[in-house]
Amino acid sequence: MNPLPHVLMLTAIVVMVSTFGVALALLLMIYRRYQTLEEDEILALRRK
Amino acid sequence: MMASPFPILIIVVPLISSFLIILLGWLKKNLCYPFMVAALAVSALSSLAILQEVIHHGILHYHLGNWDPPWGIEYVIDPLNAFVLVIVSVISLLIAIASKKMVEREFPHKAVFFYCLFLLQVTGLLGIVVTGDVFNLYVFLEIASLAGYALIAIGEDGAPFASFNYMIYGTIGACFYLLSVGYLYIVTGSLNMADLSRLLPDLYSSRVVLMAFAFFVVGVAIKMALFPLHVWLPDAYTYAPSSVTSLVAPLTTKVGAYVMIRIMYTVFEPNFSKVAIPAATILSWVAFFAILFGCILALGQKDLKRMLVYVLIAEVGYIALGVGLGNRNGLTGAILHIMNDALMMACLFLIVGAITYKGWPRRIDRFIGLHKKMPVTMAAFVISALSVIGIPPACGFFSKWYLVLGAIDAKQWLFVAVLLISSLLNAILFFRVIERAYFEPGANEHNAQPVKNKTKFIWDEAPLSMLIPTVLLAAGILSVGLLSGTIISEVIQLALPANF
Repeated sequence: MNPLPHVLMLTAIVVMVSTFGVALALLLMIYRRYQTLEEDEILALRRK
Repeated sequence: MMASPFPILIIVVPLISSFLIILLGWLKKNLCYPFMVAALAVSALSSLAILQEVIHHGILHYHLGNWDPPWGIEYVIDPLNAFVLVIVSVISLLIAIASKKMVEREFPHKAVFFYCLFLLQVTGLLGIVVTGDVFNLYVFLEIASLAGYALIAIGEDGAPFASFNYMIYGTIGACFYLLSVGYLYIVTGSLNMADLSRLLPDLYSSRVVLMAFAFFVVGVAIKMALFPLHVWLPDAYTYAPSSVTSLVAPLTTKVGAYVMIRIMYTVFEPNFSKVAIPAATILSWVAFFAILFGCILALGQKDLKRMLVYVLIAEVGYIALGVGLGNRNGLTGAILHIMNDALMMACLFLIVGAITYKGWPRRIDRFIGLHKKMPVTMAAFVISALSVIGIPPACGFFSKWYLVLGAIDAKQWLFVAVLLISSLLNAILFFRVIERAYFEPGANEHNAQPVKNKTKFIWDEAPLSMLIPTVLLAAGILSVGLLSGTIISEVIQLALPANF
């Protein structure tokens, strides 16, 4: 069995999980700032 | 024989220090900044040593953990890598020195984490350049991007939202790249760039390879913000803190351009990318529109930073045009422009940082009389503006010259025209700013008595730690311009991929 694809998949999964973590952190930041996660509402708030 | 340790030092020193810096932050906060500068100085010095070694002794190989190349990860440094390495490490060192005051002003309580992310970002960028393994490149790409998302989100009001937007695009780009790596692995069973370039020519007719190539080009085009895929860039770079923009704006797009050159012309053969499928032609037409739209959109901006961001999109277009032309002159121009543009953009965004640091608004029509307050900064601005426009002693002229020569060699007169038109548009853009800053009389000078103290300078410059990197970058623009003949014959001629 070739172990390399497994290692690649694991690494890719780890990278994606950390991306997901950063994404959630960003969403939290957005929510704290605007009290909403609706894109339309955020854009409306930003325009003011 | 003992292998040269520099290729690994370049990566490991900033990587380890980025984690140590958090520990250091617990003990003594004010040691973090010198520590970061020292770490980046080590990688800058090692990259200079590498450039020296590569030029005199040929390509360097470093096998991680002593695994032999097709299986283990290999770091390969040829003159092209070494050249981009020097640019990335030296510019990030200068920006790091300048970042201290901006960080203290904009977000003092986050300084330690900023330094950590800054080092991670630089590690990622250097890693992309140094590696000879396509999957390892993906990992470094994600290190750089993740650090970038976090850094951008620190900024002003719209920043987290813009950063999230960037993250969606960036992740799509990275997934495309990963898919292409997967496809290449299916058909060849190898991830090593040198190995791939040996194995691929027999498989060029395979659909899987074509798909891999397509995914690859689109993925990297998203990362380097090539025109129709640039949508994430303007917001992200405008709202990012000025210290962050001056790091990511000059370097991320340039490293993307390097990856483009590396894969199109080293992993795949130039014949494949130019003749077998019209990828290079398509790329140069996309670049044509990138240059045009970048300049035109920049004309509509009132905010200096936003204007520069659109100029950056046009500059990415120049590099892509050179890559797409795919002849000797065009590619020389593209590689030279990687360096020139990194210098110009770093200098310009640092100046924006200095102007905001001094409490000036970024709106261009508010710059009246700025040269009396900040003469040195504005002088640097004029030099880099002249370079973007492409006026001889500054370096921007020489890369444009080679790009125009490349377009003439390819007999693409429209590309020649667009290069010249973009110079004109850039002249309009920058003289608009220069005129406001230097020649327009202030609002109160109109009403007051005939001005007596017209030549009086009210010294209100940015702090020295920002002024010195700015001046160094401006001096770099001039001296690279004057030395560009030597740089081309000593470095870039060696850096051109084989078969050129």
